[in-house]
Amino acid sequence: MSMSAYLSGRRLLRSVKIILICSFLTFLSLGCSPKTQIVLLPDPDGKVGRLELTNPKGAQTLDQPWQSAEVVSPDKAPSEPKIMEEAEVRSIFREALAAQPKPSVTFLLYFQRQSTEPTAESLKLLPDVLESIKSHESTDISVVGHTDSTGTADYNLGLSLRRARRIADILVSKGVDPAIIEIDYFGKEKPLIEKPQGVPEPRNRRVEITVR
Amino acid sequence: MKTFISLVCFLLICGANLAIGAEIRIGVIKNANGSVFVERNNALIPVKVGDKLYENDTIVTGRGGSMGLILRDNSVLSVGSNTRLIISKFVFEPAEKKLSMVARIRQGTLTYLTGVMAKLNPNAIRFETPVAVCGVRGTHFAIKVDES
Repeated sequence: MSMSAYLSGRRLLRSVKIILICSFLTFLSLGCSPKTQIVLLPDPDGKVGRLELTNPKGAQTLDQPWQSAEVVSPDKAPSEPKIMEEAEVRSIFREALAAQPKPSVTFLLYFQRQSTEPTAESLKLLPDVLESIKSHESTDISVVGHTDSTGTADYNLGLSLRRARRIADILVSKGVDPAIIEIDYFGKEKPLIEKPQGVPEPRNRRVEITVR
Repeated sequence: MKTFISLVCFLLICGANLAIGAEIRIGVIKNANGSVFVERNNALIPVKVGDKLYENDTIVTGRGGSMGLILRDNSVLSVGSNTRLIISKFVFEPAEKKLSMVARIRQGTLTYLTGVMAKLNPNAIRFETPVAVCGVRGTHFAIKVDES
């Protein structure tokens, strides 16, 4: 065996050793608890929700904007919440905040009784729908059909499907890729406005388009 | 022999779960920057805008990577770099009143803006970290888990 082959063999052995040591250290460090930090952010519309942070040792509730709590290990209770500087939060979560997509937009199109033709008013929404598909660079559109509660369940299920298909067809005719449209239908099962059975309700005769 | 049988059973159960999980489409990727992957059925798959996310997928980002998604209930999820986040459960069937989401972040950063699911059932959503559980009553929050 030549000297250089011997040396590269030793080098290889050393690399293997280093890799083994590193894996062992990684294994050890997995045993440690990574610290968790949670921050409550205001909604885009300014409202603030609520979070409950719990572990076996305790619980904390966050309900103020920019309020934060930390947990350092499962053996220690969550810290007392404190209000953080907005700028600090924005800096810690800069990448994730920048990657947030625009929230989805939902459009409601209404129909005449027992008809699959949208009302004239609703047809006027179509340019907005198409514009939002473009501005969202959407690859995921739901078109969901509904009816009011007049007529049998079976009839309404069929009608809600035909309504959804009609709207999907219109979108496709305007250049939307059919592969990104998902059609669903619920008949009279999911009214927006609760009405007794058999009572007509124009606001329930609808197709909901969600652009994601 | 017993060990062998239980191992086979375990693998079968895992396999069955994966097979079921793989069919449930739970969201779509809207933003993808840098090195971004999804770990699915033990394979690390590079992803891009427009790709779908499925139940049991692990979102993985490398250095400088970040990703934003819209989930089926119109909630908005985003992650920063060096993040590992698995959506281990996502059931959104409002008609059957079946609503549940469990996400587990092992390291990295995320933000989440709740959607329809949280409106219908404020107890349906849970984010887990290695040291705590976050019950989400609404609506917009951020989580950071240090690298271990």
